[in-house]
Amino acid sequence: MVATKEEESSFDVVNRSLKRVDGKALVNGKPVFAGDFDYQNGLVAGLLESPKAHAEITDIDTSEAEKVEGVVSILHHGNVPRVPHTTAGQGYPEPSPYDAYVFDKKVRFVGDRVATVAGESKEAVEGGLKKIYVEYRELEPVLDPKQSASSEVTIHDEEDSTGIYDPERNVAANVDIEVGDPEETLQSSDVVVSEKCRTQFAQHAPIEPHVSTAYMDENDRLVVRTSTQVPFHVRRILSQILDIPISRIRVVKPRVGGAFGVKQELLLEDIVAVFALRTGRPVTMQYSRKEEFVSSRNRHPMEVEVKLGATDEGKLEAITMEALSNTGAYGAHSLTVLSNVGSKTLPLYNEAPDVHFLGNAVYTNLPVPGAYRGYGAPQGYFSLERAMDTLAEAVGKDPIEIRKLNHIREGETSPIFEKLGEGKEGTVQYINSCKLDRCMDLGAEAIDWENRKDKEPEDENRAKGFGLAVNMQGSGIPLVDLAGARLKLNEDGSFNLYVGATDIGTGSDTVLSQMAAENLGVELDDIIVYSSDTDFTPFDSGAYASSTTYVSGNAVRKASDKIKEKIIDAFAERYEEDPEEVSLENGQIIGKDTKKELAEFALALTSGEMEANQQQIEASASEVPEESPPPFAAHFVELEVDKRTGEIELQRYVSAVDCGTAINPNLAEGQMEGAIVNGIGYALTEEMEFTSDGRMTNPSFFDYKIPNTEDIPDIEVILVESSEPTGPMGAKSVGEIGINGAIPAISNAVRDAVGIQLKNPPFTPEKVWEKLKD
Amino acid sequence: MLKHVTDYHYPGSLEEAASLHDRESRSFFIAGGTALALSDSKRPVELIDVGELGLDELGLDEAEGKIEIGATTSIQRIVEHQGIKSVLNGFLSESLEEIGSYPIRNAGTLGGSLVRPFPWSDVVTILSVLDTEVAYFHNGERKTRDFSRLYEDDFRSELNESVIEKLSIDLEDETSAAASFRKFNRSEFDVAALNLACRINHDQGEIVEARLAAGARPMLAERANEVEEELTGEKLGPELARKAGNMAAQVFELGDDKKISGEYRETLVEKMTADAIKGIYQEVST
Amino acid sequence: MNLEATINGEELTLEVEPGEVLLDVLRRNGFKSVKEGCKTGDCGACMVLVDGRAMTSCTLFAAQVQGAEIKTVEGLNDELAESLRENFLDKGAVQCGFCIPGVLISAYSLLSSNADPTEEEIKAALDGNLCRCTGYVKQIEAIKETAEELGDS
Repeated sequence: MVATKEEESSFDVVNRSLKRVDGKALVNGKPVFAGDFDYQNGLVAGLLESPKAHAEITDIDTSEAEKVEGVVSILHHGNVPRVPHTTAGQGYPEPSPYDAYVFDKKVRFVGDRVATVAGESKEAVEGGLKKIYVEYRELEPVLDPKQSASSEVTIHDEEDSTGIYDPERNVAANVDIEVGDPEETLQSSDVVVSEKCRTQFAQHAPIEPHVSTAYMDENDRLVVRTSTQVPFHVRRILSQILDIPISRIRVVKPRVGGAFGVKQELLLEDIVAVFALRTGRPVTMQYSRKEEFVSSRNRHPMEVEVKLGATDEGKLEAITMEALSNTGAYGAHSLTVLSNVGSKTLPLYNEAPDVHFLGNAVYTNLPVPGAYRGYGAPQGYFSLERAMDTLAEAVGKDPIEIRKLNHIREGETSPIFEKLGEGKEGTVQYINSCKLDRCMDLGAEAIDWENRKDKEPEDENRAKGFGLAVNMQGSGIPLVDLAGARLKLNEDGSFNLYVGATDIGTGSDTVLSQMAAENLGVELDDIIVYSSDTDFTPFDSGAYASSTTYVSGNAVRKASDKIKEKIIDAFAERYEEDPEEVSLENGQIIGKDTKKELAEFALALTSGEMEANQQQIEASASEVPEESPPPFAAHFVELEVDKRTGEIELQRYVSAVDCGTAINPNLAEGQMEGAIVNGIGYALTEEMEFTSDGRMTNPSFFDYKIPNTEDIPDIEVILVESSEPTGPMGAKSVGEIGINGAIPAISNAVRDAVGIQLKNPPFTPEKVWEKLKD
Repeated sequence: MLKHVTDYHYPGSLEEAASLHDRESRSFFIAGGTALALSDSKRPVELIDVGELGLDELGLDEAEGKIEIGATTSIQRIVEHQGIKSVLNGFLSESLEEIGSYPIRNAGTLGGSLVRPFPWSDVVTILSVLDTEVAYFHNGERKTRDFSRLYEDDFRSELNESVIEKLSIDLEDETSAAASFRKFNRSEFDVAALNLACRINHDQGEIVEARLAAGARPMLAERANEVEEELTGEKLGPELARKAGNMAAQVFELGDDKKISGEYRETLVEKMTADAIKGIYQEVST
Repeated sequence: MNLEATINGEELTLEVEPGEVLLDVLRRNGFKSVKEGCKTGDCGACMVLVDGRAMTSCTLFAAQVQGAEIKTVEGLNDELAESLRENFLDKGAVQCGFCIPGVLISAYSLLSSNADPTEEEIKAALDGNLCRCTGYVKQIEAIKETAEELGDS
């Protein structure tokens, strides 16, 4: 449902729920995913994972494995160059430690790489893996993040790693930002509340696991076709670790079967690349579901403590936030996710002048967290939004009122924007668009928040509760992200649109095409988009940080402005018009005296009619954002708790979101709905579990439960449109914000229902029951 | 999935299937195969397909008060059967619909659920409260046995080596019977962490016979005879439901597993029993 | 051994191992709409119709479907299938698309036997199709739309 802005929408193509441009292939089951391609003479590869959480490899003997029929090549630390790097797909120079190696002499978690085998068949590979003889010298593992810093054990004791904050104390990253003197203000505040909450290991579980293929093309260039969010970063990191010029590598992204951050990473590409280079044959590697759970990436578990100091009226005076992030065995995204815990949350309540954010990301010998939708914001918002409700209760105000009293508004700023960026300082930013109040009002109306106290379940064994959580996110990374777009006019008036921007199922190909079509006065069908191929498309940082609509969109807008100008200039020259008086509308070029179909003029431009004036009209543009205008959302939950068993029944989930202009309302709603359901799983059922040896015990959908159709409540998404002046056609972003609400809103609703404090998701029935017993 | 299947056979008859199984080599009968899909075994095994032996007749004889379900009938077919939908007010179809997921119910068979049943088996719990007879082919002979004797070791070991032919559920006294099934799991597509079935035969609200079974305890289903005796002769009502719940929580043997604790299972049994009997009472009163 | 089956209307004889699962055999023979998401029967991305019944092909041995009629999304081309495709696109029920072939199989199977399902029945028919992108909301809407459309005609 779309609650439109005050002024009527005047868009033709944008702001309409047009069918996605790549949909036909998907509903026809065409072979468009990375694992769907067959390669002549191709090999497959498999992984030998570490059975130990922490050990030194003292011997690897592959002589028996090499003899297995069908085994072609085997890689391990002894035969692959050692180049420190980060696997994190981030802008160069990456703000993550360089603590990873294609293969290391040490293994640091159960599931870590020991060796890989390429062979003619899966059976050959499995046969080969079985015959690799490995000797380990076991080291003591560190499994409790609270013990990491004080432990005698050093997880990254290698000399050549760099960028680690304090390797000896196992601290990968540290952030300490202060504005004013919050500790002092807290002493004198009328009301002080504090909430300390923890979040668990959770995994993205995209239905398509990681899969990558590498092959040498006819000119001996390395081509990597991979399910990725970051083709350009993959190319650069491959160049770095293989010591091959970027010009000799091409990375192509086909259709991606879900990512949510887990594919913002170099994960299998280096392995298949080395195999392809050595064997000269195409090599494909695909993770099994178990490997996807254990040996890819997951979400940083954290403990976050928030303290709020406020007046009797509930106006915030000081906020402190302290976070301990468990970054697992490697530090990819450790600093930036940690920073986002504060940078995406604290500016929301800019009413408080005194703020302190302190965070540490520590290593443990556990499967590696990385980028995951929300990127630190969900963990931060859990504690923050619980604290806000605790404050509301303490001062006797409605939860909505407390937010309205304290949240950032249009024209305002927060010192946190400048002080806390992605692992370094951020940028000053003023809010240009914010309809959060309207979000809260519309959401409250939809869920009948006003009358919530009157609603009682019929069954006396059940209690009803309502909960709220409010948040903002961001739209891209200012001064860091780069997006490029190029447009080419064809003889029939259609355009090729080339963008590096990465559609991972989000619909960015469609959304960006809509923007181009809108600006050029043509229909969506007249834009032929091609994306994410490092040989053919301009650079783009990739699909993360909710950057595509805003940053890549602005690149498209600029490129379309430029090509429009060129078309108009060519037309003006040809027909002796003043360019100022020529416009592109409805597939036509309209001047003062002459009007032509764009198709007709386009044909003329590349035909003999124009003689020496023939031209191929093209234009390209880059965008580096200067700000990151946040979307805002209010999440409302209605639920019932069975007082006897602690079972939570989610009944309604309403989310009202201000994402600026919704370029494609269906797709925007879809982003919210998917994120909400993922958030519900994160809140109620999902947790990666481990033995005391650091081995994951539930690496399958049988035991790691993600929501299905019968697990979802009644979900309503309300798009509350605003118009962001710096955004393309007024758009901001909507990719991540939907996942931040479930945990805090459900925790708050259960508190409302039965007065217990849930601070340890997943909120399983037994956990709730334990609390009810007390 | 079984990792090392060396041979796949298509016997033309029950006898042929049985004799294939009686050879030296290790073999399993396969119908839907969903139970085998959960095994990771690497031991060599042969498979003997019993899916095309005509063991999938499904019928409801209203006159006789009998349901006959061929062993290789898929769970979903039973769920969708119009006649069975009205038996015991939908008890059988609704409870079977709680099993697995739609594709699993389409492939999984009732017979397949009985050979080496998983301890969380919903089918065993459900059938435990119905008058069920299992017909099977063993050692060249056709045999039938009362399902409630599934726990007897010789029956179980016989079943492991048999081709199950069909199940017959006797619905005599149907008009004065009501039943309820409850399942607790971590999410909606999940095996049971506890399941419970209750069937009451009554005469105008006075209990003539009660059956109460709980499975996934974490152990396979068992009946709570003490509770059943206690209920006999009593009048259905919310107070009785509550009492029965309390008693069931004490009577059933419950333990811990990685899903939930034994103590929590006690709470669940209490509530699920009370809810089941209360539900039956409400159904009977209308 | 040989597997003789009719796949998408075509009688085929395929070379299979006794222990191969149907998913692998189908993909090997070009039916790429059938996806591998978990190989344990949990995600539904590999679902196909076997004699009209929707099943996960990763939990079926290829040998089990001897003589059967198999349909994958590539072979669904009637009015019902087209309507489902159209509505899935119209309603925005497709995001990454990886789960979609399996979902279409379930939806097709449901509407083939139940032309006017309730929301509960739709959810039950999709309960074995995991989707991480859409949250299911628009998939359910699309199926309802098809049921309504075809019900009117």
